[in-house]
Amino acid sequence: MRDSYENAQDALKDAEVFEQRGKRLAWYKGADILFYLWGGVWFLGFLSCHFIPRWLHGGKATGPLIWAVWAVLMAIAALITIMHDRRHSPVENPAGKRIGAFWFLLYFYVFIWFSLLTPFLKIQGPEQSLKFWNHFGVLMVSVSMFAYIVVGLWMKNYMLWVGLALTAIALLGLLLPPPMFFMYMAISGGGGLVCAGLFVRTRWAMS
Amino acid sequence: MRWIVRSYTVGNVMKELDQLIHQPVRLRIMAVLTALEKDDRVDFVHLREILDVTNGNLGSHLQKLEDNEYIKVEKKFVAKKPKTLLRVTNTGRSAYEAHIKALHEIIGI
Repeated sequence: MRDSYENAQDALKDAEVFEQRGKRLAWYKGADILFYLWGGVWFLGFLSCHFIPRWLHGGKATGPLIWAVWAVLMAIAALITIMHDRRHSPVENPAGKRIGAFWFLLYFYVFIWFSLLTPFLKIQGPEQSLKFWNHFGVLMVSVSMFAYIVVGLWMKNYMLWVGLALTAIALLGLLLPPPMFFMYMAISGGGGLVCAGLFVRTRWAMS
Repeated sequence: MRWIVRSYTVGNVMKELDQLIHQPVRLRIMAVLTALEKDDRVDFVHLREILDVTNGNLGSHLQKLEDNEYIKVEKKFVAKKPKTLLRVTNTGRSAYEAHIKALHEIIGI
């Protein structure tokens, strides 16, 4: 009977250890690379926005240029993400495609909403332009982080906390002097995503 | 008298243990697969890494589980390379849960 008891105890411990490894496999493995990638995109995107003058001497706003920088960077990163997931993801789920579709639809809808509002936006002068693009930056960050939060709630994982933390970081950035905002976001936002990648890597290494 | 009753109960519970899953490697396979969400499929290579077993060893255990319809094996090609994906079936999930329950009963006795 003692043998049975000890065998059962060992088997239960073993099962618990491997259940944890299974969960971590689904949640963490390979995600660190994607966090580094997107951390790099945020860093380069916000850093380049910091150096692009927001109002040219001819009185022309540089908004479309900022848009273009982000669109190119995000398209490249999205392509790498999809290819990485297809080849290296340890766990596949039919919901993965739906999550991907959700991301694209979300940005498509943001594009529609903004296109509807743009004709009524009248940015007057460099000072207003400075504040407007900072607020626009927070808007785009909060849209991305909203997607993180939805995925985190759906998959019951750490993405929820990454989303909430980076939204808070972006909102706090509005309290800084406006010219510092993009530099602050490059360091704290891009750096925050790299930290999330390091967290994922550490958690995976623990299993 | 009390000892006899208890050992009789242990004997009953031992009978409820699923001998297919009770084997350590197969218990680990089922633990990993049932820890995932329904419809999640694990890549063979990553499962092998987690379990730290050889291809052949893992293959033979998977075959036994598949023969009993505890798991489903799917094969496909990604970038011209073969990929084997594994997922637990409803039968397998129920069997694993019953097995774990039986193990808890032994400890609780």
